Amino acid sequence: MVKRGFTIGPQNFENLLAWLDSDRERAAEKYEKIRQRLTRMLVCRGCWEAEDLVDETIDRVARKVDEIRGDYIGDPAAYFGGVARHVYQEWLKKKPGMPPASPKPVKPEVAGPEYDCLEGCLDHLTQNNRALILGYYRDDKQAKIDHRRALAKQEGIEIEALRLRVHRIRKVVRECVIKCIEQKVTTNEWTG
Amino acid sequence: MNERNNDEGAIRQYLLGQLHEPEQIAIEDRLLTDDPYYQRLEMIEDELIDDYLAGTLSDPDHQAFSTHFLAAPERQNKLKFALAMHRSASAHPAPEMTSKDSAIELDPNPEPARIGDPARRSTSRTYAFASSPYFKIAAALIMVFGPGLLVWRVVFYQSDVDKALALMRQIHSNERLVDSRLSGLDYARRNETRGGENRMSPDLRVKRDVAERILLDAIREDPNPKDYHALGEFYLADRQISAAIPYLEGAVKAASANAQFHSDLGAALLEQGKVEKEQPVPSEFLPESSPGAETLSKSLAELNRALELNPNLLPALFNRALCKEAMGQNSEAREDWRNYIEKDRGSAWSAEAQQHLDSLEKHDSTSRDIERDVFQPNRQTVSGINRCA
Repeated sequence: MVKRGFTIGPQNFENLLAWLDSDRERAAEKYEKIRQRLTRMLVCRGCWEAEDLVDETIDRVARKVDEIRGDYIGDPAAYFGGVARHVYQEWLKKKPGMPPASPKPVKPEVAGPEYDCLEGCLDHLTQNNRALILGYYRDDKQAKIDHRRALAKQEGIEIEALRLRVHRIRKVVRECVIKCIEQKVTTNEWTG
Repeated sequence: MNERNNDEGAIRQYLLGQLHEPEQIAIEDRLLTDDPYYQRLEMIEDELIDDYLAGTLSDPDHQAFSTHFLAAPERQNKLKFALAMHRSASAHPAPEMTSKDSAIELDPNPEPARIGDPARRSTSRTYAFASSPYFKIAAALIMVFGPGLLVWRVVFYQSDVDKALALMRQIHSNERLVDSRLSGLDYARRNETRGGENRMSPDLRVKRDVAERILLDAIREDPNPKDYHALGEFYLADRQISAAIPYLEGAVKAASANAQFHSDLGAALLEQGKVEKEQPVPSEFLPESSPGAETLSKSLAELNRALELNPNLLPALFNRALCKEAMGQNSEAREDWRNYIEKDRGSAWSAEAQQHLDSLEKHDSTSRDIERDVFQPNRQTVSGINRCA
């Protein structure tokens, strides 16, 4: 049901960007942000083809943008959300098969590419951030709660700020790992 | 604060697919338009994965996590990443925190690749620390608080291997996959069905993998009899008998005076011997003795050695009774069961020992009846013979 990639022309796309912001650079940023959040929204609904549904959503909005932009009041992102929900409902009726199986935990003796890349990415963190993220993952349950309280105290910040900080480090590391995996696949390091 | 908690609760429910449509839409509108809210949602998503790996999700949340949350490949990749993070955190010693450093950027001048080179990393840190002005303060603090730290380490400290063993106990707390009694596990009823591993929940499978990883890493980094024994026991509890035996043999070889190690090796050989007994072997390959007999004899030798070293080691006594039963030495097995029940009164293990004893006594009484019927002609037959004579 869902096609891959865009089918809209360059003019439609330019109109779409112009609706998001009169400054083209800022419009491109907003577009990326909307795209990312729509994907997240559909993933949260349990959709395993979120990227394709987002393409379809943007296609539909771009086609209608000339009609919308004059009358629509509010953040365009919310409009995209409404269209995405509609596309999602259509997908639900025709969704193909079952979702991909959950990953099997990686066998310890065969460390996966995530682990190899992770080691390298952690090494590129500053020492304090590296200590923070590893410490955050090290303990379980009560020990973890206690450890996090201690970390927050040591850093002189609230637990809430610590959570956000760890989240940001984790995000940086995850992006680094994704890039590393892509790079290694491109250079055939794993695929031979 | 309350508002934030309510938000977090709603976001968690949203991520697990537990909200009705109007509530979902309200959250989606915010995540599309509110930057801090979106960041919070991403953070809670990561924390939900951590909770899943830590086994702290409630049953309904766990179910929703497996069926809804993990449906998208993106989430599965995040789970893989989190598993890798846990592995990495377990593999590396706790690094020291330095000065406050709120920047999240990657270090622009990282040291050359240090993968697989923990020794070099810790050496460079040691030199840096020793040359720092904090060294003297740290040394003084150790002198003042050292004895307290020692007590803490002895009483409360849990090593990675201890954590892995705690996970193993948790995994096998409801049912055990082998008949024998392992020194590090509490009582759990025996799972009589085959394929226990396949029935294990995803949560327990993840925990099992985490524990296995920790134990393998521990052996790779610093091989010693305690860790060999821990990994061998882990495999045995998981019914990976052929994987368990070499590690348990390694532990016994390195620490031959440890009764517990002998007991667990005896248990592994007992399980192996029983498997061999059950496997159909083509007649041309049949050994002179019956299948499994040689392995069971080795098991018995290990269990006897364990009991020589410690006559009150209950797992060894329990396993020896099982071993003798498997070898068909019923009267000796009965003796061991009685001895066991006497030494471990009132426990669940003891109740199981009693069942074995009852079963053996019933079996022997049935055998005696059959023997009597076969070898002692009944009175009617005897009188008939007499009449004929």
